[in-house]
Amino acid sequence: MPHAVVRLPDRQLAALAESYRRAGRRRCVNFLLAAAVLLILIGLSAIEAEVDPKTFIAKIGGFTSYFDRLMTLDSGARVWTDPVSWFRSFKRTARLLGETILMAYVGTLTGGLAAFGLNFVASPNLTGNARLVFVARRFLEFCRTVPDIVFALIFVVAFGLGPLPGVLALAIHSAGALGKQFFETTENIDMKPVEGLRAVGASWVQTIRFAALPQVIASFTTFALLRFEINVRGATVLGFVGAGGIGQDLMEAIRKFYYSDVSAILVMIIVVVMAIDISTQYLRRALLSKGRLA
Amino acid sequence: MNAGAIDVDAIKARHPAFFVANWRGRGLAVAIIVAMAAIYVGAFAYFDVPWGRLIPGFRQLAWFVAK
Repeated sequence: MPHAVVRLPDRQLAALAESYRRAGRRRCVNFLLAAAVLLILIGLSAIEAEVDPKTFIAKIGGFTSYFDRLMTLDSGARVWTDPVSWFRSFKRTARLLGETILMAYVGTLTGGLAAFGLNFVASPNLTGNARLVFVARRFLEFCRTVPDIVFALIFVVAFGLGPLPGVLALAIHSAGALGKQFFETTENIDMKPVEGLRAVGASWVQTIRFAALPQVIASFTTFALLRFEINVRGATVLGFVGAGGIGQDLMEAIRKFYYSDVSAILVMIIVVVMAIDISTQYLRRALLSKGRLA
Repeated sequence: MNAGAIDVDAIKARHPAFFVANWRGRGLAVAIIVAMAAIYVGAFAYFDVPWGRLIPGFRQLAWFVAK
């Protein structure tokens, strides 16, 4: 089908082209201004943080030589030429990695259960009492504002060395972080089933079980799986402050300059974290595609 | 729920599809929950948690927070 192209008069076309050029110029000026402001802010931050490019350039060799030492066995050979020597403490590292994963699991589950209970109280659409909502939200804020490593340091002082302080730290931080994600999901549920159940005289617990839970359970599970992933990574670091897991061994190897042991532990951590990431990602996708669990 | 005012049997007869129990799904959910709880309890046994230190630990924590 033939189409007729409307050609505007030259005068009108010139005015339009001019306005287009002006808009383009304005966008370009805005972009340059934003880039200049960003550069100034980066420069100011670098000065405030005492970042010295000269030191960075002068000492970059030390950084690369550290990696070189990580890849060298005590005998002087490269680590990949003798995997048996490289992973000489494989069993111990694997056991500690298992402990780290268990710490993350227990921490996530404990925190998740606490968050699950509190999120319904922190959702104003399900809890009529504004004070209760305020208290629950502030409590969850406190839990997630303090980093888990700080909690771990405090708990190590109170409960001594071992996995317990790490588990408690992960549980409290997870409760705060998951609680927020949970109540934000609960806040946005479709209220028609809730109103329907309230209208027939259902109790608060029945309303949550039969109206709210079916709408949020899949999202809750995916959030919990994501938190587990984060906690596995977090648990490896908690060992640095004596809160159990693989981090303790890693820190010891770093301090004693057992370079090949450091690289062996790091390789095992990376492989395990990758495997957990992939499997939880698969589970999350499966759950989301399923839509609902309850 | 105020079930007395509702004729549950009539609703069941009218919408039978909504009342078919998914035993396989329920069994799977129960199995997952039981497995998760078993790992949870097993983890505490593996950690060899010093239960005797818990109360003194919390007392020390309270002292730490109060200070």
